[in-house]
Amino acid sequence: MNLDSTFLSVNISVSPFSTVDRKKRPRNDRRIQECAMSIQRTFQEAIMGHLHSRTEIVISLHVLAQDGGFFAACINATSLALIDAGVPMYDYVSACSTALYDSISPLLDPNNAEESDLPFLTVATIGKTEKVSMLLLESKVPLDRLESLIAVTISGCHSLRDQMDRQVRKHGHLRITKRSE
Amino acid sequence: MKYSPAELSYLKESLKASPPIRPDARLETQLRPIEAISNILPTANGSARIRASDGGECIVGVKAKVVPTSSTSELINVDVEISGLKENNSLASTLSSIFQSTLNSSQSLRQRLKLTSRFSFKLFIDVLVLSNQSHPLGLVSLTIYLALLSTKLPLLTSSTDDSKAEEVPVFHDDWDQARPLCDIPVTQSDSSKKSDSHWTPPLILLMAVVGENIFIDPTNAEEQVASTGLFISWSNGSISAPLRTLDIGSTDPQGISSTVLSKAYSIVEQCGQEISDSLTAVYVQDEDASSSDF
Repeated sequence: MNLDSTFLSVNISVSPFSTVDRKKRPRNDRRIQECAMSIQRTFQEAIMGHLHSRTEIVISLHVLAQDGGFFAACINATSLALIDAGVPMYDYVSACSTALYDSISPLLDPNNAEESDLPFLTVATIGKTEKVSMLLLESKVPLDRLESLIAVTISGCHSLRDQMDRQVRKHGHLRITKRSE
Repeated sequence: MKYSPAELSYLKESLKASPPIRPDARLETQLRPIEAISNILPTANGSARIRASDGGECIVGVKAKVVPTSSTSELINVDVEISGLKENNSLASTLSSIFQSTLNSSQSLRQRLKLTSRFSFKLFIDVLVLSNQSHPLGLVSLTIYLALLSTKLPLLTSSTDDSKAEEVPVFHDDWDQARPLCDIPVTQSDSSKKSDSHWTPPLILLMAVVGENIFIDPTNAEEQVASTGLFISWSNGSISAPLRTLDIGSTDPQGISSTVLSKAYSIVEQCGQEISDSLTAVYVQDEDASSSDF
């Protein structure tokens, strides 16, 4: 453990009623554990950990409803929660997924049905840069398609970053006006 | 939270006094403020979220599944998960078993879940306690009540009599045709119209006993000085089984006297109807809001 930095611990719990068919997932499900680990590693780089050394930040994610984009939603929610908690970060971490249809056309933000049939990847970027902080690809994709797929996903991440920024500012404005009343 | 012996003794004396003084100046029959909303989950048949004023939060999702009646003995499955605690935690399993046995013992609920002579709906009630300061029983009960009120089951279009030939149940495609699981409870004013088939979910109310006094919806501090916890169920406008004592983390557990028991009865009789009416009002309001969206 690095004592000069903040330690992040991530717990994800997926509710049994989150999908169309009820399914109870054990808490030590391998896929979910992997997901938690990736989130921890991604955000370890995104937060200014040196400002809060010898500190643990516990991130609890509860998935109540899901229809595709599970991992991306977890990352975006973590990003917003850390901002709400006032943890210093370099920029927003926004994530998005894209599926490849018919080996040609990329489909942004696939739902559950599309995810189960098509290869898809999830990308997270820091701020409005082309810097990819996390990339997850669990299925086969033709190599020559990969670049366009990543490009589409990054543009999705950028528009999500704008959306999140708008909401954070709106919320901040609301809080300030409430305080001054 | 930890309190010093002096604080605990002061608290205990003021709660034992006649009339008792609660730290937040509540009446014995008064619940803490809550924030409730129903029908929040798109993938569940019914759902609700309740936030308590002490930061406690509970989410319940109800899902239904068609099963052959013969294959299962219990048509209602309750599963409680408390955030931050292990899955096989004793508090979570105690809560699951309390609600599971209370709901399964309701004959009219079983009747409502019956589809045909061979098939029934099985209800899966999944409870997620996101955070809790005091004992979560009361909070969970209110949330389950609201979630069951908002539960809708698809309308059966195939024949209800399949005793001669087995037939897989077929449902109406239109979700607007779905029938609610519960009848919207009649308010006290027109309770004369209540029919026998009328059913509303049971409410389980947790109380803390301090000396000869009893308090509904105890806070964490009140639980610590209580001699024991007690819960009584309220359903269809009257007190019903179960009535049980419960360990709510008291530092000095003791038995209860019969006067306390009759006090508890009168408290539940005073506020049971009011609580179920106000939760029904929340549901009706949410239902109106969601129907006006379209």
